[in-house]
Amino acid sequence: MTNNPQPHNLSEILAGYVLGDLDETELVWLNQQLAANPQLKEKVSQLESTLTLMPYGLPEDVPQNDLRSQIMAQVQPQSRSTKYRWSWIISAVTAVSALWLGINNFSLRQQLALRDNQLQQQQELITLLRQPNNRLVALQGNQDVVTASGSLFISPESKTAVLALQNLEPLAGKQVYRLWAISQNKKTGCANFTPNAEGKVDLTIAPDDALFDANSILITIEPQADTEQPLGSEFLTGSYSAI
Amino acid sequence: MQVTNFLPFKNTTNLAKESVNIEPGNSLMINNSDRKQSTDEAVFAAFIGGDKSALGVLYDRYGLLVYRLIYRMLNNSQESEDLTQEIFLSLQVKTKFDPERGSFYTYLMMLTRSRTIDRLRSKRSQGRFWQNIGKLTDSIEQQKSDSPMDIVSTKERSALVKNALQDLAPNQRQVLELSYYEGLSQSEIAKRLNIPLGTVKTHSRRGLLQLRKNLHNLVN
Repeated sequence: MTNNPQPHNLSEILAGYVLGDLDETELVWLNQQLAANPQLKEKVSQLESTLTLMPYGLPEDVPQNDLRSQIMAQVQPQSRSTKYRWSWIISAVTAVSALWLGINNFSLRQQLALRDNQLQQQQELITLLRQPNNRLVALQGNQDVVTASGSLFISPESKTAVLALQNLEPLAGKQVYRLWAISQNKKTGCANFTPNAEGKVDLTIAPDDALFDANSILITIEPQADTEQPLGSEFLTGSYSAI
Repeated sequence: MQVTNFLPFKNTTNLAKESVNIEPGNSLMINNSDRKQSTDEAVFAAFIGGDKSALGVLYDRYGLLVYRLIYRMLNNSQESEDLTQEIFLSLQVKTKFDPERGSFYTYLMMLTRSRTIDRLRSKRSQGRFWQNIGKLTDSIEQQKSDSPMDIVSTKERSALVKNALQDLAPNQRQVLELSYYEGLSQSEIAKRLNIPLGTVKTHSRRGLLQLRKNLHNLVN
């Protein structure tokens, strides 16, 4: 291309460039000319201006509707979108805050309910302790391998007993721990229970008179609940003076 | 719908360059007496700055031209009215207009033509047609030409352009009109007129050069 100083008509190539119809060869050649003579860009601008005057040559048709009013009714001030964006952000922050406060409130209510429950239990326990003729029975294992321990609190006046144990092994199948009241070698079943996952028992019992008539208690491991007589071996025992 | 009251567009005041630096949100209100003297670029800057009514000024200046160009290309008045609204409303978002690179008028007309050809895209299926779309989009980005300027009314300008087109050789005028008004590619024009592609190019290029001469009073 460069060997031929003027292979193309420069003006027509400029016009073709503005019209967008140059082929690759013409475009390469024009770029070389533009690089060598930047003032040609002014001619390009003039041809582009000429082309954009074409709409003035159209017939003087007018819209049937009042487009100006329709456009002005729809246009929004620029600042409106900024306000809208801010209102969206504020709404989002408010919603998240409300959600967090809601969860927090629920959590606080749960804690409060738990504390109320604990406080009520403590008050009930204090009430029990104030009763006359109470007995506190220490329970001990009959074998060295038994690490379980605990107490039975008996309040005859309120017809209530509370059993508190720890370090109990979990039982398999239908096995249960069973509390027996022993009076004159007669063993009366009072309650079945199983420990929680931590091996602890916290059981309130409303026993019949057998517990109050007895002077010792026994805990055994039974193959099933509500056995009439102890089938398992003695596990924990404790004695107290008759009420 | 008279559009006779305008318009020193450019180089009549220094408002344009001062106004383009206005940050969005800082309202720049132009009163009615100032508006007649304001450049398109200053009015547009006021609109971007939050002056809603400035869009009305731009519509008064160019609304009919935009509508006519679309109507010529789509040949459907309802669609043309809808698209005219879309184009003016689109000025408030995603505007790529850069006053440093060219006039508002040129930007608006290139935008109008590009959007209308997009609309035609759904109506036509010839593959070759799409090749010009990219070129059109590019030419909007590269647009650096000055606007039609000086103190000439729309009617006067229309008369000058019509006469300039009328003075072209018929085959040159025909090819230019098919290309610009109807968005046809050179090869589509060749097919429609049943003439060689090279002839179409020659007619359109020489036609544009002749139009440039005929309109030397409007194009500096």
